[in-house]
Amino acid sequence: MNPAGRPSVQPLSRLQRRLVFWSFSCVFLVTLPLLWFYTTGYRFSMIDNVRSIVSVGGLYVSTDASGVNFFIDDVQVTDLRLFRNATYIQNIVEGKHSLHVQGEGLQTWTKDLSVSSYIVTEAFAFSMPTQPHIRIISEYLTPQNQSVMRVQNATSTPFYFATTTNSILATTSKATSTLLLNSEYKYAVSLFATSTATSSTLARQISDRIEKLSGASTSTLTSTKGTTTKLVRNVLLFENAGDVYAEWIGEASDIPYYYCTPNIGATSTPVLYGDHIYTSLIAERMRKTGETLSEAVLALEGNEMCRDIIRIDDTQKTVRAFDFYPDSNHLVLMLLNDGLYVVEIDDRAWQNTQLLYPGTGISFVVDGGRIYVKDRGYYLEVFTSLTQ
Amino acid sequence: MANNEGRLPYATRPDFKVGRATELTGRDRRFYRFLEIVPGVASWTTLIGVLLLSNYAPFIAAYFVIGFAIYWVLKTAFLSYHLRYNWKRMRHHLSLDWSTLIERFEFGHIYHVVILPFYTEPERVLDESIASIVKTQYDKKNIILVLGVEERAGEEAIALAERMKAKWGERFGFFLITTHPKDIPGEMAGKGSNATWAAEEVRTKILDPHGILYNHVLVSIFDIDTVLYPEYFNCLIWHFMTAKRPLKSSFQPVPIFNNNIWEAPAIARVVAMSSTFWEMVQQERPERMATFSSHSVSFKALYEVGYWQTNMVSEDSRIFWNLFLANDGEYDVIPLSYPVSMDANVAPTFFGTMRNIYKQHRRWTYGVENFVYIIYHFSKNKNISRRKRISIALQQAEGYWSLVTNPIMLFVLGWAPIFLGTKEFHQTVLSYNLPIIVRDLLVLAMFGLVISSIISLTLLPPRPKEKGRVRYVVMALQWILVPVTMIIFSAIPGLDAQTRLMLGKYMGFWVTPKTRVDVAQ
Repeated sequence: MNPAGRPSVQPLSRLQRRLVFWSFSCVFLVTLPLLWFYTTGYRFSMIDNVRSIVSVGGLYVSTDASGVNFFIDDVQVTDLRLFRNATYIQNIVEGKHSLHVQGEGLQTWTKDLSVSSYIVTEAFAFSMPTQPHIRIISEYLTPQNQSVMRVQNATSTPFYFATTTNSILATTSKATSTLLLNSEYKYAVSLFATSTATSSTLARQISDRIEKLSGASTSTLTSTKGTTTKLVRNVLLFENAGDVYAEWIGEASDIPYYYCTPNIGATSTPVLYGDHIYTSLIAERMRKTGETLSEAVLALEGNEMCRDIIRIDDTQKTVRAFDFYPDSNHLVLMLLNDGLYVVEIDDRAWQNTQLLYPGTGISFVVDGGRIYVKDRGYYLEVFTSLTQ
Repeated sequence: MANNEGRLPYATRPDFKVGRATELTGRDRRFYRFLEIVPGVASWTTLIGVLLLSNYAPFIAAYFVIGFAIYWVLKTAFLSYHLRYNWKRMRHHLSLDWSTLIERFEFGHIYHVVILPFYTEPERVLDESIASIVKTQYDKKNIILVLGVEERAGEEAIALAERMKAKWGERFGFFLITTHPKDIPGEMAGKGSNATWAAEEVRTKILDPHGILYNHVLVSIFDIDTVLYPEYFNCLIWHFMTAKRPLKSSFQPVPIFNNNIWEAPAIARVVAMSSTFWEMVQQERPERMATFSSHSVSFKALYEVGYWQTNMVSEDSRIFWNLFLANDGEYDVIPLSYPVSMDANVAPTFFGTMRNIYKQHRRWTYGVENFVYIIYHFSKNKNISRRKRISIALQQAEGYWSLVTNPIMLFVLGWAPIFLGTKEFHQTVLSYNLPIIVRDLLVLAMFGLVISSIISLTLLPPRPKEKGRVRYVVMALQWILVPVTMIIFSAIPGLDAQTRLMLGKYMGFWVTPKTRVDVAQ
């Protein structure tokens, strides 16, 4: 209480409140444009002691791999914004940048990506184990649940090149009286005995579409076990004249980002995205419209250029079978001469190709999100990550 | 009060106590109805507009959302500043010996009429409220205690009032039981009609017979669960005696909803404390205040406007606007920065509590009917300065609009551009940065809750023995629920209330049940 008989803590005066109000208003007026510019993609730069405002873009990299590091132009990125299965890398100046994603025990995914100011370039990175991770599905199990693997020589294993995730009992004995039958083995055998072709109605629809689009007769398509056409979430995977293609057959507005590039002109597009992208854009337009080359080049307009079909890189090897990577419509499993590979459909710059399982006489089946491989009479499940 | 005897000129207008458009005719009715539609339309237009903007102009929507998030952070900081200051002032007021402060005044001639309208509340609630009045450090011979019984509550309520009179009657100068008749034509069953009946009964049965001048009487209208702090009347007298125009002022304490706070679930505690905090903030900017819940006012002022309105829901705030308009804008609310304790909304079951909180807040936010009333009468009473009318109209409009739209826009629609935006928008840095920036700003705004958390702990009554110390930690952390409570118990009931008014589906008075079953004091 002060001497005047009044409480010493007086109500906030109007002056005080106005001062606070106008201070906050000033903060608002200063902060608002700064945050607007920041979120749009402007940054304050102090390169070589020269102050300037630069515009930036970003990279949004999705990946299922855990424990990986991101490098841009060989410099590790530490300022990451992590989303559930993706990483947002900010503050990247316009131009072409080399992105590496690598982790211990994993193959490196690398891609040269073009970044534009104010725009976020998307990519999906995948990293398969450097050493195949497998689980052997044997015909018999021991009572201790070990997989029994019959071998010629008990001291050596046929899968020396891989890491097995289950306990194995290698034996030369053919006795089975003390062993238990493995029901999964029977299932695996049935998978490889069954054709993986899609239903006849769907297969016919797909074949009709291929014929319509490519001008090729379905009779020219080689369709062997494991190499039939596949359709996952509006991406059609098919083989034509020995090459495998991924075609988007959904709505144009929903087309995945890697089917399209910004329309930056006949000169810049090959430089930033590769000749193959530009030529495929032109070729596809010519095929669809019947235009001449010069007409097609001139006709490419709009903010974005898209094509429907992307060829899957087979590294100039013979494709023996193909399928979609489990639960994915942007990765493809390609069974080539020397093994089973994972290849991305995204062909900007190049398509990353990673060996999942080596072998010359193998076959594979994708079933229920799992990849089964038959190798030299053995049935295996091949894992795509280190954590399984 | 049927006649206009003693009323101020403006208060004699037939439309002075209009409750809804249907009570008017002709052009006035159409204008009033239009005004009833405006708040709901404004809120719905805003919310739908943000959605449409997000879909068709996501870039503009994104920039708007960022601006709005910055505004929210600063608003939170601004309100926290007022809250913290009022907390400091309230603690100071609680520490003062007000009886010494008022020694210099001659106030022996002033009577306090304390009106406690009640319906079917339990005896314990009445008993504790009256006991707290008895415990105040004030000469109770100058207190006229009025128990306002509702006839519709039945004989049991009258018997309860009689028991209270038998127990406490001797402690007060006068103890009057009034029985508000049911089904009076033109009245809505509620606190306002009961209180008005009680006030007139006091006038005719006590004030006039005893020759007590109306300007010597202060009326304190309290919700039945109001528990007074010992120095309330001394504090009130000090503010009354030092007011610039004491007979043209209402006196507003801080309602702290903490009588039963230890029994309330976390959500109920947060909602209750949030209401208290809002009143604390308002105490530091009285020009924005209207009376709310329990408050005090001179009898003369009340008499001049014919007491409370009997035909509408939010009579506690409406009485201020009645007084403001009748006095041509020359009327104030004086914040006491001194608390009264009231009940947090608690029902026997959790879901019962949630339902009651929702209904209570819908009733409170139905106060938007006052906006209609104010604007209507601002168009009629030109004796109030234009500047004052515009200033108040904008304040009130912003208040009711932001109450409903801000939480929904911030916590729900703030993300709309990300989900509804075009493909072109989704490819931009802006689209990716939007959730990051908005999230960071909201986290920053949440720091304001730390202040709320600390202050709330200081307002707690003593911990009952059966409640562990861990409960303090829970009470500190409960503020994380604020985004939820703001939407469910502020924005949505507010939108509900505005929509009802917009559609002409007028609300009745809903009495908040008082169930202090486990009170241990």
